[in-house]
Amino acid sequence: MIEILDPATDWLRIESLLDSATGIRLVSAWEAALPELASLDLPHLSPGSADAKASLDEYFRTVWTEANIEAASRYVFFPWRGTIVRLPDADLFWRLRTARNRYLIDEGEQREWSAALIGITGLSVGASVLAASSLTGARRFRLAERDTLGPTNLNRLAGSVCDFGEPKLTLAMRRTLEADPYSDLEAFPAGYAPEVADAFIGTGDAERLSVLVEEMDDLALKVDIRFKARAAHVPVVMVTDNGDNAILDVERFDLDSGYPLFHGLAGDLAASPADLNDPIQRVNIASAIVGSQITPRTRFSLTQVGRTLPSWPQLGTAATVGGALGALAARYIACGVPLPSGRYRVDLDEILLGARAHEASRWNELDEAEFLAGLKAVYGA
Amino acid sequence: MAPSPHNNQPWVARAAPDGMILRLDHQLLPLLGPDRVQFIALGAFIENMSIAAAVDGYRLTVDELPTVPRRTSEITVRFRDGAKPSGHAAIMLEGAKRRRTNRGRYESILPSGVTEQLRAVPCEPATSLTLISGAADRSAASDLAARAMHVLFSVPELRRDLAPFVFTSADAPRRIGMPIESLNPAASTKVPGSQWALELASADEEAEAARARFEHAPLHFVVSSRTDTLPGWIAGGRTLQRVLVTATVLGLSHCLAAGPSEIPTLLPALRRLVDDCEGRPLILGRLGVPSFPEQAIAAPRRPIGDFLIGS
Repeated sequence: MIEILDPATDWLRIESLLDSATGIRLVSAWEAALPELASLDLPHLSPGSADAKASLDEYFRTVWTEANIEAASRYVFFPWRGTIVRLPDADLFWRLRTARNRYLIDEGEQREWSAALIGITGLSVGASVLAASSLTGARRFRLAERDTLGPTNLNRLAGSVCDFGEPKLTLAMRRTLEADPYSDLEAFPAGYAPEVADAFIGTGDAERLSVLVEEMDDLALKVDIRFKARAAHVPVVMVTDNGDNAILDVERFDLDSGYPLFHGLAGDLAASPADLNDPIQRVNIASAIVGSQITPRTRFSLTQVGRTLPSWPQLGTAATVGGALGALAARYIACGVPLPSGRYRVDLDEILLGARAHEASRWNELDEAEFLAGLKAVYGA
Repeated sequence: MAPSPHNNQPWVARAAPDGMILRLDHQLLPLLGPDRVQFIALGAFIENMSIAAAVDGYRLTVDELPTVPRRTSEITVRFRDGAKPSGHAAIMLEGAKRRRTNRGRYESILPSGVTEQLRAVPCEPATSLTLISGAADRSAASDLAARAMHVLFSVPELRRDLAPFVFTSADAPRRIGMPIESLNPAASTKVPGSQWALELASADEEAEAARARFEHAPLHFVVSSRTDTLPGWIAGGRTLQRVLVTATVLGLSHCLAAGPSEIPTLLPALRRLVDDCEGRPLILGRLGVPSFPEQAIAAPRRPIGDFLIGS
């Protein structure tokens, strides 16, 4: 998608791209990067003092000569932007990009997180997980998504009306590469399918995923990839919207190869495979997995799916908090922080409203009993 | 020999064809630093080598240093022959061998002429020495030393940094660190030094003791460097060691306080004590004739084989 060019070896290509006839714009990152590098290299200086000024003068004179800057530069060409960026090389850029993480994520953790190979299937909420993971320093991803961007995605997915019709995968990769061009991205543009399981999860010659973030809508594929991940001892993280809240499910197949899919909430899917193509069965299993401990409005909305709503309703707040939650869970697993299998909830409404968050008093809210009764009436659940 | 924070002697050396390559010993550094004082100590160590080399007719030079201090930075010093063996260097070398920190009280009067001789100490390029003898300025410096000591014993991680470096007769013999008698003569020698540092030492008492000791000292000094960079720190360490060794030769004791220059809230006041054009204050110290010479207890020294490693 991008070209990373070394001026020592790729000068002809750089010159041809920078030819004025191409219309390609050159952006230099160094003007912004040099003061920040100085503050990282000399964090102890007293701002405004004469010795700080003398120290910085010495620093820029000895460390960042024009020759040194050029040697430490890479020219990164972003075709969709028509732009070349003269950027600090991978090591320097990495140092800058993770500088504000220091101590919050220690050096060893940062190395492990950046070396981890994170697989993400489904780039709706998955795009939020990808963004938060990349922001915190993850830089190796396998991404699977076949859908394209449409107007209804824009309530939860950072996107642009200029990109309608573009593959979500392409857009996610562009965003990731624009923030960290040295990211290592492997694309599965047809999305996840059983045929690509070996390549995606890494059960053949391909490197095995450190963590799988599963955010697909298709229940049959959700089940299939879990069977494959469990067989390959790959841990699975899933974030589910719940109104403005998010639910995190962690399945540590790396620690327990017998751990039941979806914590066993959907029954033993291996022993008695459900007909996941049957819409009633699908709803029943999905309801069993999600449970009834969801917000009153989510309960109401779920009863409307297929009637007045085309699909599971989602909010940008939930996608955002879910992205952070999924990324943190993936980082904990990649960095060896003990994070057991189980379900975890982040209930923002309860934090802000207390017990009132659970009250079902408006027309679009259902309490748990009403919800379960409704499901039973409609789906026989 | 060379002073170092908590007497950690954080240097490692290996022989080079015409000199030595020096760096910090990572095993002896506190987790978070500050590294400035460690490099100042390394500068003092280099100055000792320079003095010793001069006795035998060699001139020590330091290769160009990187501006950015890193714990892995290597410093190459070279010995050039052809210089005339120096009698002054021999006196300084004897002084360096006798140099001891004395954290006790000093007499309020200085022998005549010593201030002038200290003022004449040649500073390394881009470093400076400020002598503080006026009562008001010494009082301000004493306040800084007291506040620094209070911070040291009030912040848990600083106490934890200090603890491994304090020892008593209840501890196993050490090759680095400070005997508790040199820190606080009244402290119990029956408990491990780390226990004193972590649990028993009182921030208020240690701060007031530091204030009293600095207030009684007739002369304070600050070593500064033009830049707050690795070359500035190494040069500052060399100037510091010249001052300390000269003071020793003149019959004076000394005690250093790095806190006022390392604690961000105290640094502005230390800057006000020295002229701004002197640069970045690196370390505060006091000088004087000790009231209790026996408090200049010889701290342990790492044997050469401990810090001289193979190439």
